[in-house]
Amino acid sequence: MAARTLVDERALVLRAQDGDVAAFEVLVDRHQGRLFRIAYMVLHNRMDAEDVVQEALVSSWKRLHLLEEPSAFRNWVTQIASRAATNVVRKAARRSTEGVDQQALEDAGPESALGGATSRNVGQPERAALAGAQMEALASILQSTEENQRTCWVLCEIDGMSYREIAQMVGVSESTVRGRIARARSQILDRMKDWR
Amino acid sequence: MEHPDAHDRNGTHAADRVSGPSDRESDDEATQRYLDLIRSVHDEWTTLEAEGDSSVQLSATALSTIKEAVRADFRHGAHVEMPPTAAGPYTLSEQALRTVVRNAVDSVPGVIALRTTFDHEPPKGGHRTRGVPSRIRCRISAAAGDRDLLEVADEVRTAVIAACREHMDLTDLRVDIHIEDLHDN
Amino acid sequence: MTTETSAADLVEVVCAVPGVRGIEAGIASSLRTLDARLRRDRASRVRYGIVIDPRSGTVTAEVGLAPGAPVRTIVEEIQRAVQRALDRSTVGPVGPQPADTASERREERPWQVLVRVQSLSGA
Repeated sequence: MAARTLVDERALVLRAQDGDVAAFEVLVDRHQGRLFRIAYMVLHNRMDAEDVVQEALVSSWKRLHLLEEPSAFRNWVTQIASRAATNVVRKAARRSTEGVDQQALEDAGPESALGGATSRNVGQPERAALAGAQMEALASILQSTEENQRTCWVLCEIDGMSYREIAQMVGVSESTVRGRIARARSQILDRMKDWR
Repeated sequence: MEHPDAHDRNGTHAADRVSGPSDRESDDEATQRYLDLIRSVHDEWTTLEAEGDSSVQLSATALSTIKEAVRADFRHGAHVEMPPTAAGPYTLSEQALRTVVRNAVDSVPGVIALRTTFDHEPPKGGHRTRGVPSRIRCRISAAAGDRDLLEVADEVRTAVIAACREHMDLTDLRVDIHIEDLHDN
Repeated sequence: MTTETSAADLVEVVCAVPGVRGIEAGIASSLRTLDARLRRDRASRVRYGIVIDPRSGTVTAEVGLAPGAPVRTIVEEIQRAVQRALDRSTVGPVGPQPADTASERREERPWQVLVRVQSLSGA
């Protein structure tokens, strides 16, 4: 794209739909960090979060021609990633006898690198844990919330979406979203009290 | 409980975040810690991502895997007949054709190509090919400013016609330019 | 002794043309290549990106181009390079020819070189 900087996301999406791969790569660069953090907060597992985001971004490329409103790209790709993360959690829950990862509950604390709805943490190098004790703490605490509540909470507090946007994304009413977020919040508050 | 910074972050309003009954029963202190935790987590991310720290984003490997997969899934589209060269016939994929036009549009200062579509003459040859292009419609974004937009459109049209002649020996083309958007230069 | 230009030879010839980024297989050659392999056919006439079809007298080359020279200029150069490579072989479009009539036959039934440009890498 020469020396030009395209600030307008709508223009980038249109060009990507036109076949400009470089424009799509800019979109990837812009959204990958944000999507990774959403996936990580839901999954608490780096490898799973990376897989989810990779698949979401490649899938968004393949289906880009289906996106009718280019300025809706951000929410559209977030929805793809969020649903993929939810599917990972649900599959793991069906496999696990306990559902929620009890180990994560017990170990929840700043240094914990365990936890996650799948058991792919075994053998992870230490550096794979997120830098920043507070991020890790938050991700651990989140594992104790139910998946429905966790997803809504993450989209709200991590991605800054409005209740209406979340309702559309998740396919429930706004009041259901409010309720889920409120319950997630109170669980987090309870967990945080346990720390002290 | 209000989230003091909720209004600033991402433009969503604090009013959207209605507290449930359990929040009102919460310790004020605990709620404040909660808010502080969320805010500092966001600050941490902003700093780390700006530093290129891979702990808060995809690894470089994962990123390049995505970009490779994107290039591998590149859709060429149907093939479009072209006036033959002196040495034989050839076709361009719709994708390649759009690239020629996109490059021509981008070459005009202050103009950004958005999408391009084509009308075709009936194909002469095989199935799955489109005929020679007869009409091109370019959707573009022009730099906001003093320049007369009709002039800009004409300049783009000239560039596209020239590129089609130079690259493909297409001379009998109708070119429509549609300024769909304005951007800051 | 007959020499037959194989699809692999043509890949080299095509890739050597300035402005060619590489062979870029598309539908035309992919299906033929798969078909030839499934039938355990001699693969020399078909390769991803190049198809030599003696019956129709056509060689099809699927390529990706790099920016620079005009598309039709590069395409013409590809066609001529392939034509030259085919001319050097003694095989005409419908199979090996007796040596003394080779050039006559070639003039009557020249190869047609069809280029399919799959992509043009951006500016």
